[in-house]
Amino acid sequence: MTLALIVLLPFLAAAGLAFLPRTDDTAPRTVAAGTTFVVLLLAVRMFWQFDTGQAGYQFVVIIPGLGADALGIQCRLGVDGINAGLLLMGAIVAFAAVGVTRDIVRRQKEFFLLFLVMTGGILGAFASLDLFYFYFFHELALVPTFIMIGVWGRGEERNYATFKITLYLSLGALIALIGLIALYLQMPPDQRTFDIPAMTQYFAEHRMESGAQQAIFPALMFGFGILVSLWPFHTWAPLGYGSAPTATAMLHAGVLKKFGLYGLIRIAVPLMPEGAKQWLEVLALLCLGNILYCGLVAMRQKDLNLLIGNSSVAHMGFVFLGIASLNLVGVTGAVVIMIAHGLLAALSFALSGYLFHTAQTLEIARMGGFLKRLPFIGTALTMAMLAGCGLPGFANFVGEALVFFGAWKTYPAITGLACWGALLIGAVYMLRAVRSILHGPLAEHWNQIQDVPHAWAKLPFAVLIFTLLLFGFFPRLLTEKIRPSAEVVVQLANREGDIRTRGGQGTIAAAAGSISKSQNRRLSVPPHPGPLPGGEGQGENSRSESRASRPRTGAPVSDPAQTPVSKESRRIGDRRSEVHGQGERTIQTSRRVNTAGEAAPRQ
Amino acid sequence: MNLSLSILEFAVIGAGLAILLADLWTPVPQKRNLGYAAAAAVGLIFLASMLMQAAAPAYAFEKMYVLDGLALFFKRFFLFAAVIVLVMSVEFADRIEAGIAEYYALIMFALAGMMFAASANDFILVFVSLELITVTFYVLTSFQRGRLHSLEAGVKYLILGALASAFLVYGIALVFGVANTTNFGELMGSARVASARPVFLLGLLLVLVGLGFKIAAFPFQIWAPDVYQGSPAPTTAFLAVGSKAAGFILLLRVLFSAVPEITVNWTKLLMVIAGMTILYGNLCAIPQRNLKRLLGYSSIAHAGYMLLGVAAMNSAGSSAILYYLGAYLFTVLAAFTVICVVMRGVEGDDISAVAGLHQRSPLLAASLSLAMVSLAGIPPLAGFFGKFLLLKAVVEKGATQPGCYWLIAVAILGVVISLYYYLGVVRAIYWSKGSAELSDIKVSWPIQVSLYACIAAMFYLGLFPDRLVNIAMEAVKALKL
Amino acid sequence: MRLNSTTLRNRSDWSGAVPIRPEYGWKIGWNGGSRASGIQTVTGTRTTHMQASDHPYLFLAVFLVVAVIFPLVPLGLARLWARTFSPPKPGPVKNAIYECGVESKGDAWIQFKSEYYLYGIIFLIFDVEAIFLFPFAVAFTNLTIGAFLAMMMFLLLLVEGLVWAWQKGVLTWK
Repeated sequence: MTLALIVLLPFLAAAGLAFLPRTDDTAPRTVAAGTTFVVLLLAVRMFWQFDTGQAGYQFVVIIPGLGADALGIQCRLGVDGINAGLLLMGAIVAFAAVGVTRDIVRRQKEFFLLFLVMTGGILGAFASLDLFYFYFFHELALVPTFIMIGVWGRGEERNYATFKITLYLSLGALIALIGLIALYLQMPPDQRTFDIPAMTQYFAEHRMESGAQQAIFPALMFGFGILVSLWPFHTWAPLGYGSAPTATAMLHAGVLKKFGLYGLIRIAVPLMPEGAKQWLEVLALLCLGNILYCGLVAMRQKDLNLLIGNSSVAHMGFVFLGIASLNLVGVTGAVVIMIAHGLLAALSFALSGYLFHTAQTLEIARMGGFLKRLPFIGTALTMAMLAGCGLPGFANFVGEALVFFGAWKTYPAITGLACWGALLIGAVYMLRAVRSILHGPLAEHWNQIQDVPHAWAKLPFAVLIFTLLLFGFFPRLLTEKIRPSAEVVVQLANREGDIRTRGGQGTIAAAAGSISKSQNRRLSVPPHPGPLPGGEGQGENSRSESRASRPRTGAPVSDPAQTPVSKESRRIGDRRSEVHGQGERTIQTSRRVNTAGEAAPRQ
Repeated sequence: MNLSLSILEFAVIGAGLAILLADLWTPVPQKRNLGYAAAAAVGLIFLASMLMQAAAPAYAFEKMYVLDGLALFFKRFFLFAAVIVLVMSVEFADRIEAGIAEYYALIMFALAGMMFAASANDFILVFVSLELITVTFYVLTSFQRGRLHSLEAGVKYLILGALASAFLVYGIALVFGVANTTNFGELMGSARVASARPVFLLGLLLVLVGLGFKIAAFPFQIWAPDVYQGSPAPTTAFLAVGSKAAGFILLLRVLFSAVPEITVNWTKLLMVIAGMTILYGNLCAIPQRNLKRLLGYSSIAHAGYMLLGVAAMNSAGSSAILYYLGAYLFTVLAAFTVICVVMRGVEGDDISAVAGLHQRSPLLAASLSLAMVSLAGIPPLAGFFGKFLLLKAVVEKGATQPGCYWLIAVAILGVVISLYYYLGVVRAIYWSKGSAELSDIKVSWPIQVSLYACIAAMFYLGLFPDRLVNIAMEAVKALKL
Repeated sequence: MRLNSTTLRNRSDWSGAVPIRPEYGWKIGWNGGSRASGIQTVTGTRTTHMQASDHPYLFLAVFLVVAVIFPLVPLGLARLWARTFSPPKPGPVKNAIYECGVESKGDAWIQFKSEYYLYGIIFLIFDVEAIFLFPFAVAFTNLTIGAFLAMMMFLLLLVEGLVWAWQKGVLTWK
């Protein structure tokens, strides 16, 4: 129910706004602020109650009526470790974004209506457990973005920017859609469903044809890649963010852009391991384009917004690298960066929006010495920039470090270059921006610029910084939630040999089928903490390590008690019994996952 | 002979004749309101059609006429479209110099033709119903006798329509010459034997030409933009929705019910036509400034999308066409209703006329924007789910016909291009400069009701597609797929 | 040339899909061979004394040549005749448009009243109606009630048209 409220509240509020009189100037903002605040509270509650250490989906809820049963489409929401943090981040950013909508003075009703639709779409995309709705919610945000940039955007180029961003994104989304449909059609007609857990389970049990994997994976990779501004399809991003109103840029750069990455982690990689093996190398190379090329481009920017936009594109490279590493540390790191960067991008755009609002320019060269007049904003900007360089203490550091550790084993050369890009190039443009905006002499005509007036207006910035620091100092809040789920993803992605052995098949299926188990638990028994997946050091479930640890957990595989597991899970493979079935066996998910992965004969 | 099967058509014709007669004794200022009476009558028939069932196909007129789920689906479709179009024509009445009652009556006769087309099970009925539609549209397109554009549209439609009819009837003659029958059921039995004859294939090809003209498929799309631009707005709306849908139901029946064995050999041909239609419509729409002309090109593109479903040659494709048409119905009607209201007194229907519409009338602005967004195929509106189904059908076909992937690429390209011009209209509504006129637009309550109905339907079909999907899947069982 | 009933039946098969059958050429006997060869083909035995000439499409080529020559010869003769016996002597009367009748003056594109059309159409409709009425009247005593009703419906439709046209003032000449 919590999830349903989180996703539906913004839409309901938007629908309500539509019937307000046009002349009302305060009500829309109040409604939007109230809604996002409630959503934030719900998201925090969800995050708090999340059963850490479980791989399965929790808070699963089906929104009745939506969808088409005939095609296996059902609006099912749920969270696991990967998207729990993303949802929380989305809610935080949305709440903060309402707080900085000072620059919206005309046509407020329309703005906040679109804003709420966009928020709902973003949250829905991350919460959705159905492939169709996953896409559906994401596309919902497309038109609001278009109109918001067009009407409330700034700069001469906003027409061009809004068309560019819309066309690029819809192209990417459509390519991904074709991939998703093709994925759906890989299942036999009587079992077809868009349900992500069911699909994952099906493809864990049944090997998808290599040819199909090789064809579908690139469609998803490039489709999603365009949505995440994968180099060389990134040019829409800095331009679009530069022209967008602050709140839109925050939501888009911070949250919506993570959609493609989430899709890669959730769908493309675990469902098509063979395709992933082949194509992730390409992705690893392209991510260098993001990190190095866009980093260098960012160095040359004269406009603060374009600088932040390019740096945000550069940061996406780390996430790609983490995904491409295909091991537990890398993928966990990728998810952490997604969350951290979401908060950071939102913070940066909020700050640049404030600067533009008060100084009416974002040209770095014209600014200088602002720290004297803007102590709060200046401090926040410094913190944001330092977080962008990957300073320890901020959540970004955690993510980047994890990604580098994870990727080192697979792609040492690329990781080396990426490190260089992150540490040097990032530091250069971030610190240069800090220097030329905040330090130096304050020009005479800047005397009238104002700092944030009161505590309420400081709140959005404070919330974002607080979260960044919180996750920076206590990364286990995130990683412990992410790891079990990331483990499933990594096991599924590295499973190529597993399919052929019977034991592996059963256990993998059990890993994928853990959804039904956790769902049942949600329905009946109160959650009990599962055993922690291995010790601290064993998290890095890379190929060499898993081979080493095989003897330890090798026993369950040969255990005859495993045989019913595979039968059982095949039965679960039926979508309907899986969704509605009660009383399926309770299995220790994470343990199975380990056995699945580690018992697998490696090449 | 089972006359009761075609009771709906007779009711429509009767109502049309009644409107004609009522016109004779209605004082001039009241004539306009006859449209409401006509809309109410058609609305009642629409409700009555909801009570009808077609579990098993039933035949009438020596098996020329069939009433099955597919026919009923399209009959309801046409009836609903006609209700909105009639309401729209009342709004449009002051721009028609004389004979508004005849305008209403002609719409109803065209409606009857479409409903017969939905039930056609014989080439003769195909021809007769198509002619009933086309001939009434010759008059409807040129109804604004004072406007040169309208006359031009009428003449163009007349000449090209007559040409297409000639192709069609020639094709039918050749088919009959070889197969010795015009009935679809009998043709299916003899098609395999007759398909060895090139003349038979030529005949079918000519029939396809005739139907391709109706749906404005490449390369028979030349007439569409001019006619859409010149005709009165309600005519254009009915042409875009009704006439096109009638073309599609006939196409489906001919391809999948009369000669399914031959159709499977034509996959490539249909794929090429679909791809070219999508590209042509979308590319030509880019530079258009005239809103009706833009929608004319976009309707070509949409015919292309629907042809994807035909080219997919599976029941998923055909049911997707039905769904798409359902979505297209509400979307296009909403768009043309807005055009009909906004373009009063605007010469040239230029897009700039909708500038600032969000201030003049939020309802109209929202309707037109939603219509454009739905046409572009963006969730949560109906058009998205339609495109989703069509693409799904083609991807499904791709397993056996690798060429389909090219078709998909073309379709995606088309959708992205179409976003550009559809969103261009949205842009004009919300933030383009330079509209002199900023007075509020009064929207009469029937127009409001029909706009709200269209918007509600767009959202309903986009959010809760299940019902229509099931109906469509049930309906296409009548075809031999 | 002997075209018997078999060849005629073959000939009626006009669809074009069927190539002209081999025996067709033989039966026509255009091969320049003896009459006996024709008889032999009818009996269905192929004999060796038809050689290059038995190609089935040969007669088409021959036809084509003859078809070109046949009209050309008289045309050429006529030309020669004209050159010799009737040299051209043009004059105003000879060059006039018509050999008889009144010569037209002015533009042929003139406007005339559209009422002609309305009259014409209404006349045509009721003229055609008569075609249906005659068989109806002849068979009247044997008709079912359904047929009678159908005919009445038909008449009513036409009457409605008449009433409408009348009321609209179409029948009043202005």
